[in-house]
Amino acid sequence: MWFNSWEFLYFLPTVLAIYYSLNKKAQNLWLLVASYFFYGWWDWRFLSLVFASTLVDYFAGLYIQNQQAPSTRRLGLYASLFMNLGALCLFKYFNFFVDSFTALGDSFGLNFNTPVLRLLPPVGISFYTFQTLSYTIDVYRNRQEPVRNFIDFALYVTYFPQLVAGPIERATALLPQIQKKRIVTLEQFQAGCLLILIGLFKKIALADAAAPLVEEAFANPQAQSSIILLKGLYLFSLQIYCDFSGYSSIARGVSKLIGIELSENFQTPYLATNITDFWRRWHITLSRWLRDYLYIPLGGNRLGKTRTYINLMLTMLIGGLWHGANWTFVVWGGLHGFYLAAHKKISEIRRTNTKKNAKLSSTILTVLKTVTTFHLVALTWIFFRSPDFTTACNYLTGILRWHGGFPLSYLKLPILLFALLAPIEWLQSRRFDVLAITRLPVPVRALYYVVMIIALILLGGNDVPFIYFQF
Amino acid sequence: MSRLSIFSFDTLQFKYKNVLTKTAALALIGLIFVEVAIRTIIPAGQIPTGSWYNHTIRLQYEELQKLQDVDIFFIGTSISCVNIPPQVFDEELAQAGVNKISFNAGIAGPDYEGVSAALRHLYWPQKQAKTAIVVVAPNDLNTANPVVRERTQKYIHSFERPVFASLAVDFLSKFWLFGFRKELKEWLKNDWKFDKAVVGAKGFTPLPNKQRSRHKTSYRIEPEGRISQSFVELLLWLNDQNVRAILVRGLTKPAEKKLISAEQWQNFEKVLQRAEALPGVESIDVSSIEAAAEDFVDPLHIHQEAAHNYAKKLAQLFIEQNVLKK
Repeated sequence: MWFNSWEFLYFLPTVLAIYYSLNKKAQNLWLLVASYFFYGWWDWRFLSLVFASTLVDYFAGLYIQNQQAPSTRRLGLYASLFMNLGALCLFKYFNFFVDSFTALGDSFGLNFNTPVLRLLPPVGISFYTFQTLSYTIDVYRNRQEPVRNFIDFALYVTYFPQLVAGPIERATALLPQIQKKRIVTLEQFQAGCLLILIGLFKKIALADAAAPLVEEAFANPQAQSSIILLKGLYLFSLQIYCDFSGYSSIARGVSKLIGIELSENFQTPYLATNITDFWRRWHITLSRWLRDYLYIPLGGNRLGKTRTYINLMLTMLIGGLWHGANWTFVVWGGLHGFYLAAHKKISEIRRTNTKKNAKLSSTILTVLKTVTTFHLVALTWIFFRSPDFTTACNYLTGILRWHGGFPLSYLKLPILLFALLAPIEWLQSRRFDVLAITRLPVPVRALYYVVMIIALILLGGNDVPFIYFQF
Repeated sequence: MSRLSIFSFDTLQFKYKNVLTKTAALALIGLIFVEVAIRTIIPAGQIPTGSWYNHTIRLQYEELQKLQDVDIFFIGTSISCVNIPPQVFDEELAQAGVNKISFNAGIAGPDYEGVSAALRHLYWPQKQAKTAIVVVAPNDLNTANPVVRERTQKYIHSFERPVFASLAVDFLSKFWLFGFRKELKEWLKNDWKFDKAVVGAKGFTPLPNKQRSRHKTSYRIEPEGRISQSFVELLLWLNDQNVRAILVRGLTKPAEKKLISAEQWQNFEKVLQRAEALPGVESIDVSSIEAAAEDFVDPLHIHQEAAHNYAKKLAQLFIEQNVLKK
């Protein structure tokens, strides 16, 4: 069930109406039923995998807790890793690795008869796999008490607002909220509604409005003029951000209505002044997950400079692959890894040289840095969006070998969409809170709500699924 | 509440009336203002979209409801509903002693896949006829127009909405801001000119004698493709309903015909031959009554007066060939 579907329009009020009338114990059971219904709406067969994952991690947590010897504790952890990563590899990466292996064999003139599995990857498998993995790893590291109540744990795994596209919540953050009695205040309720409105606005009015033009540009880049390609790239940068942050915003809003706070996933990433800053603001919960469960265990920055760069690159490559079973995602991750390593190096050199002159005013410098960072990120989106390398290279070449003039009128739609987004981003960047809009004077706030609702109605209607659901 | 009860009603810590804040009230006033403004902009007689794709269909559906019985359905795309006024056709038949009530169920916008969906989901459940005059031109089976393809999918999606979705859309369409959202979008794009939908008696959609611009398209007719298949399936479905289907080649401006390659014409004819071979399907040669180039307001449609003449000639042809007395 999509957040932007008509079904959800009925689903949410029904769930909330019953939820508000129940006591805490029944509430969790009700939310669990609702979550299974929400997920099963796509394909009920997916439920078996989520249930299996829940069962294994529930018992793995208890098993790890009950063992004293590190080797037996590790056994519980391995069981969880095997179940979760195994399912992820089987459903998402099996064909990718087999195809890559076959292609490699072909290039050496070897013909492998490799098996082909045509499995439909369950929606959001990467998200809930990472979430459940963090639980067992934290229990193993003694950072998290295992949950004894199965309903509570099952709800942690399948909690519908964030089940299919995050935010990827840590057990330490989500489980206590599931276990305690919840209340919803007026402020929470209003904030929840506002977050849902902002999310729908970003998704339906901005991301979906950009989608057809992005599709047109990426479908056949060779046939397009450079300005259309540039427009497609700007629009995709906007689409991917509004699509995903819109989803996160709705998820947080819905969760607020339930009385559970979810982590913020985006902090105006396109206003970042460097690439490290960008990754502090973009898909924050994934960045933190990768840092805590991959980068730091790999050694982080504790094993010398070279290892730091290698660890950084490895983390980003795996982060890229997490998004999808395609080498284009690996390149996307690799480019970001390279950017991060380069930025680290530049920062080190800068630290050693004292700043003697700052001729440019700080505002101009900030703008320059922001624009540069945005374009560096936009460049990587070409690989993220293209179905293969040929398309990506054609796209890039099409922009670099400028042809077809520079008719600025072609940029009307990107400018309009960015202008509609700007007030929210500007307010959020100043107050570090997407809900900063609630602190505007009443008439301005009301006007902005009206603009958002009208834009939702008039710019919407393209019915594009959330991009991150496929991951 | 007993200790065994699963109810507690203590999660919400506020009164419902408090939800309506000053900001919400002001935003509501703003939306009401916009709604009133829209109602003054949109010409009278238009019907909000509702759960179906556009308000032209709603107007056409209303016309169908006005009729007690229908003997003949004209089926096709805009090439049917714009070029053939059923009222004129019926009057001409009546003069020859053939009393029939026809309705033009031609749907402006989609290709034959959409036409088929509209007939089955909207018009047929409302009224059934014993005869169908199926109007088809190369453009109706063209797979090379992505805009029409996309629009067709939207049409179909709108007819096949689940009940709960239809209920929600129908309710929201009571607000014209939502009900006319597609038209308002066009209005903003087209220099603030509102393209009023006109549907005349018995489903005819007249066009004034004024040249219209139309996107140029290439032609690709796939005899085994999805659109041709929908066309054939529609004829088979009509046969299942015991409806006699009479195939008529729809109008295309002479200059536009030249843009269609010999291969694509052949493909078009292949589809028609396949259709003619189906049970319950016959065809009538209308090449003698083709409209003149100056009658066309765009490559596919003739203006209102020309449409009147065309419908008269078509009826005369039907009488001459004794088609409807069979």
